[in-house]
Amino acid sequence: MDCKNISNLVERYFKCNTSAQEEQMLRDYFRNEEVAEELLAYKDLFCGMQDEANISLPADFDAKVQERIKSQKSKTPFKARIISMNRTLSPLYKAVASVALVITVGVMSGKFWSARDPEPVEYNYANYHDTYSDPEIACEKVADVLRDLSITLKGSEVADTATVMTESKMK
Amino acid sequence: MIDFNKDVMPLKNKFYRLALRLLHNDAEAQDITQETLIRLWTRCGSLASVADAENLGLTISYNLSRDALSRVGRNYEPLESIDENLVQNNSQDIMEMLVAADRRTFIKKIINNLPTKQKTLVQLRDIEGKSYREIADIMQISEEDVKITLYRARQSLKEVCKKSDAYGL
Repeated sequence: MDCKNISNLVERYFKCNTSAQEEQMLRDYFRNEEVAEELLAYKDLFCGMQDEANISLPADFDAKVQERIKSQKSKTPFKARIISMNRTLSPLYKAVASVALVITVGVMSGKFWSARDPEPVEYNYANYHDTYSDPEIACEKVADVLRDLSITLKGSEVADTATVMTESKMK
Repeated sequence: MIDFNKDVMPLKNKFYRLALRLLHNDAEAQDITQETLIRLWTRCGSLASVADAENLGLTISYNLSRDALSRVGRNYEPLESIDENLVQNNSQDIMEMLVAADRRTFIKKIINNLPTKQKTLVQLRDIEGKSYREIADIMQISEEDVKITLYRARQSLKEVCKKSDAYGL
């Protein structure tokens, strides 16, 4: 190949203006042909790069890789599953449901207990206990009650006479 | 759909060379290549073509190597003598073998002295023959960045070559 052409190509190579094919051409030139004097400085570079492309792994490497692949295969593979939104939230739903259930049961039982009738009235006088230890206070309380009773009775008496009068009037 | 053993395994040396270029450590580079292949194996089903597998593998290898570098903090001692039989030498001539060995030391020295990014670019472009587009994808940088960085790398390679020619290195 023309020496001028080659040195031109070398210049372009160092300026990164060569295509991959041209670079291959250069490497072929430096390896196979008589290199011009002014380009001898680069012979080692271009030939050396070709040598570097021949570096390869030791022969036992493949076996190591195959062994690792085998051990990888024996591991049970994880399979990815698509989980829907509802499924993701199901623990939350469960928690909400159980809390709601507990609250409902609590409220209902509370209502049930409080709805049961209060203390039944005791009619057996033998079971009566003294409420007041001081007879004076007891007497006062009884007088109070009796007074209230008489007022109520009086009031109803008035109302009764009033109704009787209006009824007779209407007649 | 591609076959792991038929399509991906033959690419192993490319991943290995990239890791080796960045780490200068054979054992570590082999580990990274293994890890890269395992990851490709798990993704084999989703890869459309061999070129995809190759570029993805190089990306994984590049990222793993950089992680390893940041872990050790660039403390890897550059191994001066990578096993001689790593390079398949077909020539029987002893003289030629010596020249080749000399050349290998030289090229290793000058490329390994470059910064990590430039080193990776030289590896991918000049040694593996990748296109700028592919390199940008592999390294996750822009194509402009690729060109600028490669330009710098080649300029410094040129300087070293000139110097070594003038004074002998």
